[in-house]
Amino acid sequence: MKTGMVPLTTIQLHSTDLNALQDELSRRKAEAPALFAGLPCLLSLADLPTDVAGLQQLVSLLRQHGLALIGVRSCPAELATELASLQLADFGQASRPPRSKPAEETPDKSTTDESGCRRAVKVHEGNVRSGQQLYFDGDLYIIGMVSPGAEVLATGDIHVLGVLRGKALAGIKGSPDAIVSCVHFDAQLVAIAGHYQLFENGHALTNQSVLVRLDDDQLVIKGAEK
Amino acid sequence: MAKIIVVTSGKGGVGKTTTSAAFASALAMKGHKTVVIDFDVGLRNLDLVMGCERRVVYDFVNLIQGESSLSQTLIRDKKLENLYVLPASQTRDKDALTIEGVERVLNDLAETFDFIVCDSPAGIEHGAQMALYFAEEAIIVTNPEVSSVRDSDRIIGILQSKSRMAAEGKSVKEHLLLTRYNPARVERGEMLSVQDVEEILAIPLLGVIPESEAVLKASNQGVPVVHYAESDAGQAYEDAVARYLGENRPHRFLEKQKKGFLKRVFGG
Repeated sequence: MKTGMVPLTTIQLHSTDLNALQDELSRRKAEAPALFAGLPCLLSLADLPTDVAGLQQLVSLLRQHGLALIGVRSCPAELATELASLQLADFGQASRPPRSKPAEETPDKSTTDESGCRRAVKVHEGNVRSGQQLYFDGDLYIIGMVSPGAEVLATGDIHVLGVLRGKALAGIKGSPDAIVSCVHFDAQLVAIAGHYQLFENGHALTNQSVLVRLDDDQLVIKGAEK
Repeated sequence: MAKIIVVTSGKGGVGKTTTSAAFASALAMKGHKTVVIDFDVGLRNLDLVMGCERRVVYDFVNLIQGESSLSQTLIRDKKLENLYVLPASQTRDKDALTIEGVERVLNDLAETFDFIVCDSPAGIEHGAQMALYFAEEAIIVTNPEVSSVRDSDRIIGILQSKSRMAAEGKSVKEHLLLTRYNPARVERGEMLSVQDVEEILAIPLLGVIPESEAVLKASNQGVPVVHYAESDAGQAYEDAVARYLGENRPHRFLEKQKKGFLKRVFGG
């Protein structure tokens, strides 16, 4: 047997309202269809009042949306006996105390970098055409252009060595330190960790080399001086 | 071994059938044995543009379903002895085309022809995907307007992901053919320029066909426009095919024609 540390996404729900959850999942899936497909994750039950039936519904809803739920954290003692029948492992109690303000939207950085490892890197050689979507769990480098109507998504950075005319969404699992950069900037939309900006009428830095990062929940676009 | 070329665009009405007819005719004129196939099952037009509508007995779907033989189905062009037309069915729909059936017909044709030109239907659905699946080369017909360019970009993406070449890890060779180009309107900023389109699509430019009265006249008469050797569009198609076959010819018809002195005085 070999042991190793692997990062795992933990889902922390703010309520057990199934309808609200259904809406939220559908919305996120529409934004990034590849994001949930087969994503291994844990469900945290800390601060979540639920019973056996509630847990069963919750689990089946998450699995319907393609999430590969493998276990739970912070499971109350009375539900622990149910886990086996739901094919879930008990990952014990959360090592750090549950966040005091669960309603806060700022995503937790540690979900991606828990292992302290460098993020994986993918180099895509070629253009991403209109209607195509490219997703990578890590940093994505594109040697080519991203056409209008095309979408590139990464859990880490996105760097385009060419023209960015489509949409670029970096840090999509909530990494506020993610970066988007490109050689020629003419994007339709740029997003970092869910904070997005549309460029309906272009931008002062259109056609320049730019780097976009998140500073205090604001997208900051900086161009190379020309 | 035959070269399979698809003429495609995504968007409708940009000149795919006109281009297929002109391109295939010009290849035949230059001595290459060529067949042009209408993949637009249900909305066949190629036979009209090629002027052989009244000679259609069997069609592509009959051939796929084994109801007719190759020699019964192929229509020989009246003007060019190297050129054959494989018409689409008017009464069936595009689901009658199957990967296996199309492959079998293409393999049979490849034994005797140098070039197989596939005239794709508009759209990105089944019919268009059947037309492009076996292509080794693609002529992307684009008008100098934003929606046509966007659809061309989309179809290039499909060529790169859903063709047999892509499945085998190779790539389809793409050629950009800009049609209905009007330099005067480009100058007025009403149309995208050649440079704009080349920059957005980033594929090699094969030719620019000027907007021309000759095209409508030719298709109404059922004569591929390359037979009008004096027309600008006919010459532009002839240039494009020569370039396709490896000749180095400069691009023409990119600038507004200056009116001569007499035309300026008496009106053009």
